[in-house]
Amino acid sequence: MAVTTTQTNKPFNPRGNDQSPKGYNRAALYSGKALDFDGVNDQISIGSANFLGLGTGSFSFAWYINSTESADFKCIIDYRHTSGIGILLDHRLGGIGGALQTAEGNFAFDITSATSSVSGDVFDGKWHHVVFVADRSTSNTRVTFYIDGQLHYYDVNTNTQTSTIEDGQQMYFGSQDSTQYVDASLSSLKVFSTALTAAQVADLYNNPEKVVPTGVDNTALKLWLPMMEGAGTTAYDGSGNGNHGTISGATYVNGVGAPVSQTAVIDWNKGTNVIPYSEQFDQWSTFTGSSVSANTTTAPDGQTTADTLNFGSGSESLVFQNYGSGSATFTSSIWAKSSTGKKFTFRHWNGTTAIRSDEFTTTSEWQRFDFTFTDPLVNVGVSNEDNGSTGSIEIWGFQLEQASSVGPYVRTGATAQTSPVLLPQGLTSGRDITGVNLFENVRKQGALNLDGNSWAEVHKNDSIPEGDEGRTLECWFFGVDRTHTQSYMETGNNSGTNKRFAILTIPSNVIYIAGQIYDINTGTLADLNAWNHVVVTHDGSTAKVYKNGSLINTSSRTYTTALDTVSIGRNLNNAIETSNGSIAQPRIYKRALTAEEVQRSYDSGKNIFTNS
Amino acid sequence: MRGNLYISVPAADKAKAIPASITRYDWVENTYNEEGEVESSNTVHPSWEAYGEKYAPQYGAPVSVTVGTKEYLVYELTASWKDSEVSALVSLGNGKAEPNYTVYTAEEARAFIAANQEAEL
Repeated sequence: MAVTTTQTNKPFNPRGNDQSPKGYNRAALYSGKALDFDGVNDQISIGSANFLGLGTGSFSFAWYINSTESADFKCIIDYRHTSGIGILLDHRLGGIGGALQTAEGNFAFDITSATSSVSGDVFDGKWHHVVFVADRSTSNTRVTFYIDGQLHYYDVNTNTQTSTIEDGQQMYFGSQDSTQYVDASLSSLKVFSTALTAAQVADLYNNPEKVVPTGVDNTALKLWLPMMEGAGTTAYDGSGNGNHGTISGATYVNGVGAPVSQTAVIDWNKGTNVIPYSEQFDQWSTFTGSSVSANTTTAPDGQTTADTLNFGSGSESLVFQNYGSGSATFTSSIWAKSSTGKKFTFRHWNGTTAIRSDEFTTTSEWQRFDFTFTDPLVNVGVSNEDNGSTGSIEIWGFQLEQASSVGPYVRTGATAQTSPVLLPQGLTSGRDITGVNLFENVRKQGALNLDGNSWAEVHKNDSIPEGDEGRTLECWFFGVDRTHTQSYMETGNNSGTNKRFAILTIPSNVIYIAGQIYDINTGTLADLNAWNHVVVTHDGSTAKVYKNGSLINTSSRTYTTALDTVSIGRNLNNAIETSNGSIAQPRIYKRALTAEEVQRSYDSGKNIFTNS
Repeated sequence: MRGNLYISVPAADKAKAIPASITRYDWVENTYNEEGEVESSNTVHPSWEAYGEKYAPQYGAPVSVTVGTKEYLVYELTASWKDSEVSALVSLGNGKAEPNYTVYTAEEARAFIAANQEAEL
């Protein structure tokens, strides 16, 4: 039997009840906007002499571009001294190219003369993520272009080129020092003082919420202009280095949108919890003198749902919950605390012997403890320490997963959550536009603030219900009065009758379930300028709609949706039904939640969103 | 902000005022007494040069283009057809050969600039 134990200190809710998403506007960071350059006289000028300090080292540039530019030498990035020393990236000879000039000479590169190239085009009128890497770790500079995370071409200078390019003057984005203006929409310029690897480039592309890819130190980010302010003539530097750009003529446009930036806003994770009653230990069995007092204290999520587990004097005093049977690698976890430093163990049962973790010592603060083991499993429990002693601990949020590490917490009621639930993972790294580090757990509480044009997508995967499978769509949305329909989240698509399953509000602000003909008009108004918790469930034959924990409609319906992208914030098939409101904590279950589960989910979020 | 037209102005004329009928780019300069009260107020009708400096953040800076030995500055701006502002700009070029006071679309302006600028690399 392989057993590992870990103890972590991860406050679930470090800000207590002070975590209203209304106070944290992510739209400024991920508004889906970009700057459009007219190709005549638009540009951004950035910084002052030597502000990047690239020196003799390697460096990388990353940006988004949408352009049909066809003229050679129309410039995207110019960071050169008047002597010509520096770097130039532009359109040349049919594609993306450029030149690196040092005292040893000029190394010009383009796709037609590249050492190795892969088909693809930056200038095709679609959004692309472009990364240019200059690897100067050897005397022969190697330059590489990546488009949408994939290698586009690379070239190697056959001549030695080792001297500095540190004496660049201002950087220009969109022109070559006020000439050769490019006709393009551009967004999110980043400069790193390191050569990004192919994996790091792919990491940036696939996880665009990451400001800095995994494996790169934050200090390597020398410049980051999100260019998503939406107004004004300053493009703020999010690297924290204060090299803000001055916008000259360029115009804000919408549409970086999905699938580039907006997918990043809600990064999805999957979670399971195969044990029921994860927060209701009074529904668990007791053994050897133990007892449970329900709802005695404030839980990590701010609700008074944590229980007190009172141990008896025996060494096997515990509470336990049946799992069933099965052999696998499991990880169990629980939040626990006590004012007495009381110890406890995970005590599970494989049908023959006990499976015990090491002893954990609780403190007066909530901590999440976890225990990974590989064994057959019959039931799980929480016990006093080996030698047994009376005392009590506060407990909340038990989770059992078939996994080798602890995952995102999934609440359960009477039904175990055996199939993965899509959960918003939230952002885990990065800084805001003023350079302030954003604390992970704060970011997780943020809402997706929509602007009437932006939206999010979750690409289809096996966690999304299809056909007539049972399902639940759940979200909090901030009601905003509009003259047209607003779609908050949906599965399926518009391909035919009952092929779509979507939470909407229609112009009268009535909560509405769209199913392509099989619609449900709940007749219940969404609250305007307030957060609404809406859940719609479907068990294959009946659809139920809940608002703020209360059932508002039951209708006989059978939806048979195709497996397709989940759209959040607009109609999947058309750029319509967009929302100006905000959406938080969207979840998709592959089964119909019970009324009790819906109520508990509402209760867990209501103080965050409604302060009630 | 995106203008709806571009015009090439001889650099030698940059001190001349933009057409008098185009007043949307005028601005008011006040002088104040010691109490902070407005003492005098003056409406400035800009020259091409002053327009280019003041409105560069919105429209972009004027672009210098040399044709032969003569320098031209390409300005971007918004002008109304309905209020005859476009007519006032077009009339500046009456009887003159391109590119003297020639009004361009964005595409035409790009082509004009590209044809008369050399790439550095």
